[in-house]
Amino acid sequence: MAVGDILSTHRAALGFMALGAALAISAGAVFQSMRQPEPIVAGPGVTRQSMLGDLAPSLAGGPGDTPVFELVGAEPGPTVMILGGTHPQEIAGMMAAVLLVENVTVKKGRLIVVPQANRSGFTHTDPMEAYLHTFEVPTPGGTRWFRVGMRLTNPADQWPDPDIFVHKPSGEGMVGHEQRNLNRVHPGSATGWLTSRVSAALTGLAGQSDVVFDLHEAQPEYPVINMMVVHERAFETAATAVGNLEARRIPMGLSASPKNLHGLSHREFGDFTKAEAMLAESANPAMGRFRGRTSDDLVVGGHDANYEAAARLGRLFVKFDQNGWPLKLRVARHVAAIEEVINAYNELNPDKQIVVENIPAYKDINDKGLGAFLKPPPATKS
Amino acid sequence: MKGPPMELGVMYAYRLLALAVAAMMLVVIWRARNWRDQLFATLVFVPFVLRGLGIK
Repeated sequence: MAVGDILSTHRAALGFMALGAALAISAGAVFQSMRQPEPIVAGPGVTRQSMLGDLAPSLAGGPGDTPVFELVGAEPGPTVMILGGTHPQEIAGMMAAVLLVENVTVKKGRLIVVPQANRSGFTHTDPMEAYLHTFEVPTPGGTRWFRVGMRLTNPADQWPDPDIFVHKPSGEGMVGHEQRNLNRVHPGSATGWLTSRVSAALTGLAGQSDVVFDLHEAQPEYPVINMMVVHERAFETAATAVGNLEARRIPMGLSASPKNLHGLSHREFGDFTKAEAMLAESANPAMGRFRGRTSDDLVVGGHDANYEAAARLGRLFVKFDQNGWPLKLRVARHVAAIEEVINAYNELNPDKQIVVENIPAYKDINDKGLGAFLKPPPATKS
Repeated sequence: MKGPPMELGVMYAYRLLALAVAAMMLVVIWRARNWRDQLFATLVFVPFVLRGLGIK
């Protein structure tokens, strides 16, 4: 059949194929653009910047590879590891970690910061949730941008999910998609699925640490909110930190890590390493079921009229008024919690001190905003 | 650990299946004689080719 005959008899088919190709290319370009990492600028205190793949070669250069910042003091001391972005839509955890990387210096001891623990989760958003892909923070030197991701590893990177995910080594059964939830697969396996391999690498870092602090957020209608959840070996440190936070009029609850709830950082890092493992939750209305449109004003400003109404009806576990729960307040709470955990550790271990300086102050973050503590955006490629 | 873990084989098998579905949709578009079948096949083709290529 001549080319001319094919064109005339299959004109419609060729047109639909061209349409399919155009749709696939344009949609694919959007999805591929979501894999571009946002810049995180190493501050003056960062002594070593590496990738998680340096510890776990099977992750190197892949979707689970993520930056690891080390801040090592001139004098030896204990190691504290901070995890942000375990759940990438819980952006206050990631931003608190970024503020540490860009501002603090360590005089004694060692700080390990992983701002985007589940890097793959930052490359997609929750289907049907109409989340923003990114949000912006103005700084004196220009506007910085950051990603809003999703709780689970990108299914393009790890799929298919099983019907039932069986956590190893506990044998606990969970819904299948939890196999892509970094905070359900700890301590992970070096020969497992992507999320499990990321977990195994982080467990390796936790094994080098004395304290591991995993930063999270939850919806205001969730009971475990503005709270620290801690392994039994970390209770004394965490209780001292919570007392100090309360004395500073930063309300913070304290909850024991359930021994039969497996896969979570506060349980497995505590059970499988020598580290004191703990986790903190702040209130993020952009994650909740009651929220209205997921706009910049909600994600960054933390305002939502529906949540104000829900608070009036007594449906929430936090106060919610016209001031909302802005990102800067949630980040300030996380940073203050980190500061007090370090203070508490030093108080309880006078022979093992970690000295961290230039931690952004709670009041300053709230008064000046996040942008005051972020470096200018790095020059972009033209 | 050297080399990809065994589980990656499952994911690549899944991607191959997705690419096979996308290829079948191209056959449907080519052979169908009414525009509705061709449109529906096009709409099925797009997500399957993206998943098969590991983009989405």
